[in-house]
Amino acid sequence: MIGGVDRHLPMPSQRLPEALDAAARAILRRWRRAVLQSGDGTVFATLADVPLSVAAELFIYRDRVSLDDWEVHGATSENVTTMIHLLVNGDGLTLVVGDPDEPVAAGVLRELERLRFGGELPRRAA
Amino acid sequence: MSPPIELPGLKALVDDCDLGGVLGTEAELEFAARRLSEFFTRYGEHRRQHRTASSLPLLQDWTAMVRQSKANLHRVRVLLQAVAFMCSAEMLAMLWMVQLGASVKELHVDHERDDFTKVRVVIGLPGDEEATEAFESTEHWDLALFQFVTISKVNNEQPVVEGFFALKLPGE
Repeated sequence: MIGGVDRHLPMPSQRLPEALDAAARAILRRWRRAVLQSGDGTVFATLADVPLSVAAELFIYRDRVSLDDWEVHGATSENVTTMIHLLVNGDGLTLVVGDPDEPVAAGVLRELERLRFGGELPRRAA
Repeated sequence: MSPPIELPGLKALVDDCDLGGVLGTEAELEFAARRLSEFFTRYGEHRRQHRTASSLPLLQDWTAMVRQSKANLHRVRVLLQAVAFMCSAEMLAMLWMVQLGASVKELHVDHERDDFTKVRVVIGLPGDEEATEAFESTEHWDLALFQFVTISKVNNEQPVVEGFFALKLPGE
């Protein structure tokens, strides 16, 4: 069994759809051919189509081949870094990555750890 | 033909977004309805430049807006906040494409007090890494866009404009 590593990012509940949106964008910027899948198995070609307001989790695969591989084999040592799992819960957003040191996962985690919707506005340009 | 924007429906959407304080009066709602109609037109004009190149929807209209509000209210909230700041239809079209997955590639501002403002934004369209579209405006109120800009810079990476996020309102 191949496991993942969880990183929990506390967020105010009312900003969770935006946090999920930001997380997905951070991943899509790095995986330009990514495919998204909701918790009920629905596959989305674009982020625009995903209903983030009601999404409890989102799977983002590097590409269609990766999605197919996960659906056939589950997590393996070969594909574990080709999917990032985003989970929404009451107090924040959890990312599950195969290897937090893999460049894409590491970049996304660093980016999102700096994204805060807490008591203040998100980071803005001056 | 695009369905008309009915003020009661728009008011309900404004209330869902907690924006009744800035778009609550009938005059404000009528302004918002006009600006949204202009925005739908501008969106279609820009989108048609890349008919087959992008995964963005070809059209946006009131029906699509309501549908998006049910799925992603936070995106509509940013748009309506920009409407409340009287941003131009041109920049609303750009902002909305970014909400739907486009990326900001260039952002230029030229402003001289009591004289002129020019805002130019170039975005990369989702679904085609090569396709870009430019948006330009000389409307002073478009400077308000910068309130919504969210940037990110991590370690030695160059900073990127991640997108546009709604402002936090008093009481939230």
